[in-house]
Order: sequence, then structure tokens, then C-alpha cells
Amino acid sequence: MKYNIFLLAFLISPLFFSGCYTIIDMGQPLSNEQITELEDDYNDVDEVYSFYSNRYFGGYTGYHALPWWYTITPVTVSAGGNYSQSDDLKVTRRRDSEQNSLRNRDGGRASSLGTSGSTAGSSRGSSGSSGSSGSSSGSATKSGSSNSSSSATKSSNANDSGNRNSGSSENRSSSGRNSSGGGRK
Amino acid sequence: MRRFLGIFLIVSTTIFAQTVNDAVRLASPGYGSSPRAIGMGNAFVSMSDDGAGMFYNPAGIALVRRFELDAGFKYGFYNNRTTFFGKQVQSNSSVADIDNFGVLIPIPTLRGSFVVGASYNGNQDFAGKTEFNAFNSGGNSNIQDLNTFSDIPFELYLTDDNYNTKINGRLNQSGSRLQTGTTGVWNFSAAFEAYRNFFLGATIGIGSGEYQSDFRLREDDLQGIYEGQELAPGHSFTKSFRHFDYSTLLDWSLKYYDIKVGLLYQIRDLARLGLTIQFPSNYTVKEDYEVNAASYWGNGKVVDIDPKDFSSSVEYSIITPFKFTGGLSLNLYGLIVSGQATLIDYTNTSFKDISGLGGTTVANLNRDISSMLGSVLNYNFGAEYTFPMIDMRVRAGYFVQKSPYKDDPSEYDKKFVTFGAGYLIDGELSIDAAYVMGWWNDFGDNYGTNLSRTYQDLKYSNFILGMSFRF
Repeated sequence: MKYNIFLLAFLISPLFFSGCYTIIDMGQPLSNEQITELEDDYNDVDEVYSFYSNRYFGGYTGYHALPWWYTITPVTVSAGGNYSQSDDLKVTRRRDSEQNSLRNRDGGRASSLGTSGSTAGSSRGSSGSSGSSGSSSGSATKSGSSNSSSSATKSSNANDSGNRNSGSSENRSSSGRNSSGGGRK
Repeated sequence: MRRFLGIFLIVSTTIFAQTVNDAVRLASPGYGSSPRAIGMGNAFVSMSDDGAGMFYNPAGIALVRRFELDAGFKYGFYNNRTTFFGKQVQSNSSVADIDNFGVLIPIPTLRGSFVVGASYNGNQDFAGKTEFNAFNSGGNSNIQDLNTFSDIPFELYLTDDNYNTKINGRLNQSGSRLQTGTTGVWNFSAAFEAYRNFFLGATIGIGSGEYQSDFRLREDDLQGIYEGQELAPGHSFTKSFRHFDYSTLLDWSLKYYDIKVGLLYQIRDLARLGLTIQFPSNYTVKEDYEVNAASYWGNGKVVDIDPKDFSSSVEYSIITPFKFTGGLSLNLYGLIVSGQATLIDYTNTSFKDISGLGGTTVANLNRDISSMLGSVLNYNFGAEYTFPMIDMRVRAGYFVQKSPYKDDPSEYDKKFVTFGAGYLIDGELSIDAAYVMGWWNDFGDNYGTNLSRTYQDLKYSNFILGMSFRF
């Protein structure tokens, strides 16, 4: 029995080592390298999601591939005409994931969506606005990614300031990770 | 060749209750768990992206991104058409049981995935029934066979004082063998994305179960061959032998643990590759073995044995072999096609004494295992197609579990076809059903080798209904 326990502990131990691919969201501070990696990762296609693409799997797409800590953010900006919030939600949920990877609609960074992409480009490096820009684009917003975006900005600011203590403390208080209320269920 | 085992399986149990068949029973894989996996012919090692992954490939649960609660129920049906000295008898049995239930908990991640879960899965199903009834014209009988290694015929006045019997076969033999029991395992799993699209996982299983085998054999002198012969000289009532009843009851209480490690690699959105290693499971068997026998005579006299003299309680371990499984699934525009193969070297199965068996018995059993069993490559195929407009899935599969006995012909391999369907309600509740139908041949010896043999044509069907809720 001890052998089994040790084996399981061994298998999951990489989670707690730096350099492991998976990073559990525990509100921890991130290094610049990790932030860069995360940004790159978010720009990649989510292949688990696209394995169950909406085109061929219908409602099973969300069933299999949509993380519970993601949320569909209601649109708050009027698009004119008969545009309504419920319409937008429907459109978002019916999007073909092969064209619109959820990972690319994470609060304004580069995306295959034309509107989000332009917003993302302009918002890279600015914390609070990126999340709201992403939301207002009408796309599904991943709260975790929105948070990490805030963290990235926060950490960069801390380094720029050259004052780790005051900088990080100040940024921590304004971190989207803790205070954004970013839709985590 | 194979039922050299069967010989011992049923009869020799009086003294040597343990046989190679006991090892095979525990080392053989079950028929699967969860309606989705079974519907795909259990070709699920490269899928495993739901609660069943804890049972099939723990790495697959790292693909799950929402909380999942699942549960399933199954109803199995067995049919055994037994041919015994040219006469056929049909036997049916059924069993209803819990198939599975479990929970998956995806931990929020900034990148990759980390999922833990726990589940209960029905594992092996030992149910079966064999009935037979025919005249054995040969010069052999269970009485004669028992007389070679036990005092039972002597105690029942079927021999003289020197243990010689006048019984020389030509008796009508009838009886049955009823088997019941299942095993189930509690799985505790964890999995994570070790590298992009590369997942690792492990499951620790803590299992338990029971098995009972109730064997009854009656030998009747329907033709009055021994009428007037004093079977036990000096005891006049033995001139009117009528019949001999013999029964054994084997009762196992099982506990075991096992571990399974797996990996899964997703090749873009096109395919998934899965590999698992199931480490040897250590079954602790607490066995109670009870024997009853009686002789019946024409004047109404009945003589029976004291069961305590022939019953035993022992405890031992059966260690099952490694199981290596590799599989590939392809995603073809909504059609998922999956296949896998499992390597099992049954010669690595072994007995280990805990109390009561003795080293010599264990050594002999392990030697028999090595000489009688072989390694096999089982294979599974399955497919699942999703109708995206109505959120419905249909499935089909085929799998083969090869006979572990060396040189067994292919008709002794267990072959299964499966069908299944699923329907998704509100994007959260999936209702799934599966039907599996299997067939194979088997045979068993009531005693000796090919002296009183039952040829069995077995059919198995099982219906599984389950649901899983993701939120």
C-alpha cells in the first residue's frame, strides 16, 4: 500500500515543481517567464476544445471542453439596432470553436476574432482595460485568463518600479486575480 | 488440454480446493464499466475523458474540465447450453448490480489541467450456471474418483473395509454448478497535463468482492445395475444402492488493491494516443470450503458424512499479472473511431500462501500455472458518432478476450459486440445506455479428465444505463 501511495505522490509531484506545464491557479505570484509563457499559450489553439468542435459535436462541445471556471460574460455595450444581450449569448455559444478558440478570447489579447484581436493588440500590457475590452467585444471571457492578464501587468509594473515591496503590495491589492470578480462560479 | 484444469476445478476440491482456474478467474479482465465505454467496445484507453477514465486510463480524466457526477446500473443475463453425453440442457441466470458512480473535480489552472476524482466501478462478474443430466455409460463415476483420494465412499458404505468399491460407472449423472459473485473497486485518481497535450495520471484501486460456487452431482443407479450387490460386505442394506449425492460449496471473500498508471497524448484535434500499465493486483482470498455427501438405499436408509471432516478454511493470495494496454482513437468529422490492444501474460499469475495451504501446494499450483497458461493479446474496437443538431450519440464496438489457456482454439475466446447511445440534456446531463452481447465456448469436467465432461455454449448479455452530470 505504501508503494502505491508513494507512486501516486511521485506522479503528481511535478505539479509542485517549477517548470511543470500545468500551473494551478492558487493566486500565486507569477514570474515574468511564466507570464510570457502563459501569454503565448493563450494565443495557441486549445486542441482539447477543438477536438470536440461545435460543428461536429454540437452541445457536447461545452460538455467536454468548457472549463467550469470559464464564464460567458454578458455584453454590456450596445451594438445598436435590435441587438440584445441574449442574442449575443446565443451567438457566442454557437460559435464554431475551430474558428474561434476560446483561449483566444481571454480578455483582449490576440485572437482569431477580428474585433477581439484588434482590441487585444492595443490592450496588451495594460491591466484593467484588457478585461473590460475583452468583455465588451462580446466574446466568451475566461475569468482565469483575465486574471492572469492582470497579474502579468501587475508583475511587470512591480519590476519596473524597482521597488518590490511597495510595488508588489500595491499591485497585489489591485490585482484582477483577487478583486476582479471575474465571473468564477 | 484446457479442462485438465476443469477437472480439478470442480472435483479435486475435496482435498486441493485451489486450482489454476481460481487464478484465471481473478486474473481475467472484466467486461467493462460505464455505458459510454462499453458502447464503444471498451476501446476507451485513448478516450477516457470522463469518469470512466479512472477505470480505463487515469490520464484521460485530465481532459475533463467541469465537475462531473456519474452513476450507472447494469443488468446481466447468462445463458448456458450444456451438452452432456449427447443431451442438452439450457440454464439461465441473471444479475443486477451497480455499474459505477463517481465524481471528478477539475482544479482551476492558469495553464494545463489538474483533475482528481474518485469512483466505484463494478469490475468482474462471476455469475454463471451449468446444468446437466445424462446417463454415463462409461466405467467411471464420481464415487470411484473420490475413492482414490478421500474416505467419503468408505464412510457412506460404498466400499468394503479395504476401500475397494464394486461401483464401476454406468450411472445416470445429473447436477448443476451455480456461480455467483462480483468484484468492485474504489478508484482514487489524479491526472495532470505534463506537457502541452500530454497527460499523465494514476489510479489507486481498493477492491473487494465475493464468489460462491455451488456444485452438486447426483449419481443414480437407474438401471438397477448394482441391485442385489452388497457394496459394503457385512452390511445388508448396501444391497439396494439407489443414488449418491455429492455437493461442494466454495465461498470466497475477496480484497485486493491495484494501481494503474496511464498517459494520453492528443495529436492536435485529430487523434488521441493512450497507454496504460496496470500493475499486478494482489487478491487476498479468505476461503471457506464445505463438502456434503450422502448415499441413499432402497430401504429408505440414508447415510451421510459429517461435513466438518471435509471442510476447510484457508487464506491465500493470488497475484495477477501486469496488463499493458495501448490504444489510438481518431476524430473524423464527428465520428470517433477507437482501437486498442492489451497484453496479458497469464504465466505471471501466482499463488501465495497466507495460512493453511502449505508451500508444496502453492509450488505445485504455480508450476501448473506456468505450464498451462500463456500470454494473450486482447483487442477492442469501437466507434461513436455524434449528431450535433440533436445532441445525440450512437456507438458500436467489438472486442475479444482470448482464452488464457495454452493451445485453446478460438471458439474458447470470449467475443463481444456492443451498442450504445447517449443523449445530452441542456448541455449538462448526459444519459447513456449500452448493450453488450458476448459468446464463447467452454467445458468442464465433473471429475477426472474427459470422463464426465460438460460442453458449454455460453451467451452473455448485459444492459447498462447511466447518467453523468457536468456543471
